[in-house]
Amino acid sequence: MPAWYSQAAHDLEAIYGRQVSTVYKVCYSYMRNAPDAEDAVQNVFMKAINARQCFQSEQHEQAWFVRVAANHCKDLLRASARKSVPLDEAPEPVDRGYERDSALDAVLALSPKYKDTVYLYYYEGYTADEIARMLGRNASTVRSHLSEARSILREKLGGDLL
Amino acid sequence: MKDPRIVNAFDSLEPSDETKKRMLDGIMAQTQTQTAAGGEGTVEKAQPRPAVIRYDGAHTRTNDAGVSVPPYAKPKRRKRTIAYVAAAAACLVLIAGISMPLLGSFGMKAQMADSAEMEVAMDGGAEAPMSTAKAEPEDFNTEEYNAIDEHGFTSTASQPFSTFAADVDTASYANWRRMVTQGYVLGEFPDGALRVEEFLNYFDYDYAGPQGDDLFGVTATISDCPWNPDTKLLVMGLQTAEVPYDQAADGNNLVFLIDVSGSMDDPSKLGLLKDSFTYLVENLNPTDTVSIVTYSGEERVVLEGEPAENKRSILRAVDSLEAGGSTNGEAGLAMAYKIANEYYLEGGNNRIILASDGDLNVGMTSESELSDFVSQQRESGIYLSVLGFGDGNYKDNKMETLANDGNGNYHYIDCLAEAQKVLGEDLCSTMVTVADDVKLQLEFNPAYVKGYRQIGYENRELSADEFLDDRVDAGEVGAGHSITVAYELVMVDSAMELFESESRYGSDQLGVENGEWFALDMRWKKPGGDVVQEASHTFGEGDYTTEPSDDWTFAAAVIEYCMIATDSQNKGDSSIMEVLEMVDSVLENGADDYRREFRQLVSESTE
Repeated sequence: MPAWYSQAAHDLEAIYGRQVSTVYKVCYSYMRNAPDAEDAVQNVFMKAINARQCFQSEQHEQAWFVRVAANHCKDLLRASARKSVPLDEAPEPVDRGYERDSALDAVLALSPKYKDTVYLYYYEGYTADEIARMLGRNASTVRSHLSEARSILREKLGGDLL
Repeated sequence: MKDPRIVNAFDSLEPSDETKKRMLDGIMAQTQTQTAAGGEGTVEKAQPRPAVIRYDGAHTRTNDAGVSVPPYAKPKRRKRTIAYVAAAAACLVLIAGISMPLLGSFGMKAQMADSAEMEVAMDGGAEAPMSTAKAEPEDFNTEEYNAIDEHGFTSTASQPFSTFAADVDTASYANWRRMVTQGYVLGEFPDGALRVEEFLNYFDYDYAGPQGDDLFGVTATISDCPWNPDTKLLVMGLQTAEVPYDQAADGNNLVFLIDVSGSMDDPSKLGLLKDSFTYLVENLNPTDTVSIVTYSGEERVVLEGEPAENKRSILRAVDSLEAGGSTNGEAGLAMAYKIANEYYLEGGNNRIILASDGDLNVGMTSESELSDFVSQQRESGIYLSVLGFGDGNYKDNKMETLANDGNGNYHYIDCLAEAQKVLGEDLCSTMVTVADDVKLQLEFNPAYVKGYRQIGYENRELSADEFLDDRVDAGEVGAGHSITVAYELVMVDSAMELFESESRYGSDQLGVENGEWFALDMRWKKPGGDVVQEASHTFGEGDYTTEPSDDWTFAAAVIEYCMIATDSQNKGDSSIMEVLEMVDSVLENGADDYRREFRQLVSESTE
């Protein structure tokens, strides 16, 4: 068995276990219901397998998965928006598989352009500069997205959003 | 501390074990559909280009208190799913087994497989036993490297001066990383592919910056050599001042000379190059001018003097490039110099950036002819930098020669992260030269040092007399560059015996016991000028320590690894174990991602 192949198989063994939670959370935040999130998660892992991604560290691996998951979901949403209703008017999620709180609703209601940034900043604890590098965006764009998202969330949730 | 409500919101989305299992089953089913349908399954094709995206570094983390934490430390709230790994592991081995043979039919170039391997895999169809698909890396390889004639020990009595040109290239390291990622291990690296000075210079060090009018801050650390009990290891860091890109020069006139010959038609070449441009255009100053010249069978001007603020037109032009045809590098180079001259900025940075795999098969093909042509052209004050891409037919020798003769630097782009480093993080040192013809000369004092061996810089060596000869071309150095220079020193009390020829006419080579072990002299010119500037520093007992810095230890580990990988005759007691121990001791104190990546690659290359 070629060295690169056994290495790849060895890598893949661990990748799903390490990244499935992250990918699922990101996909769910975009798709806003479990069945679509699950489909998206599967497609993202298929991309990883087919593209033979090679990761240098868990952090880089996670960056790749968050970025690909976010882009994939945005593509799906755009495609469905072309077919039916505009993104902003997408129907409220029907799925109630989770105990909803208002914060989750507020996050899910955010525009798709904020979601990956909000996830990485609030949940994973990265700084704006790090997020810019991970997502290949301009740091000032990330900062302005963060501040816009923060003010939307603050308005919905009240209190001082940290 | 971030708002707990948002954290809890995401926490509540944690998928159940059942959900995870269901999704994994779904992935399994999709791979089987692909197999049944001969690769055209229901799953979207992977994107055509980013097969080479690999994040290697550039993520320095700070915690909430703003204190740096090790880059790989997990963010506090990150949760890992451990219970599920065992089940997933078993299934994914299977997935990997099913999907690997499909890669060929998906039209994807696997990153770690070389193209020759992929062709075999494709011919073999889905059931091809992978063991037959493995080709020895050398078999399909027409890469070219110039041989390195490693420095041996020199006795101070016969030659107290060690003279060389500065070198800030890093290509050899990135190329090694590409090879390790492709599965090369120790003993398989082509001769001449590993240049230790480019390994050393790839990394950032905590060297002191220059003071006053000095070009360099100089940091020297001497300690006991890890692989040789009879020598000491000197690691000397030279650091130029950081200058923000937008303040570095009176404008930048950049001409990209892009090889679009047939051999560039590969995701890891033209594909990666196109992606790399997205980083570059983000970082240029709005007033910079960008021109793009391509060459294949014939040269073509794609973009001329476009202000860098027109990012879209630049990216559109780059995106429209398609590879095909032969390679007339000569015509391309001539056209690029013509365009660079037309947009010449007095006092600014005028630079051609050649992006190629180095396979120049029409026109001036010999290295010496290319060399002469470029050497002639550099008199015009236009720099020529080189970005190398791809593998299999890669011509490291031609690329390095071009950059040296063109007074530019030379980088190898193996992945997007490297593009991000060279064209983003390090843009200023890549693009803006702060000194031309930088020459360094160490003079050893025979009263203390009876012999020495310079590590690396073999192809930068100058004769002692050339140090003062201002006509002699040397190395260019950019803003914020660190140059690391290393020597093994044989002190007078060392047990090591050197081969010394005794002069029959007698000589007074005893040196003076003034406390100076050696002196460093530097000469350089301001960019575009002829005025030579000089500086010197002396070093001695005070620079010797039994507890060297992390920078010293890391440099020692890099050198030791290169000696093992090139089977150096000077490797002494070197061992991979010791290399890893030294790197680990540095990593324990918190090192950047590049150093961590080195650790990982070293261990991968020894498996």
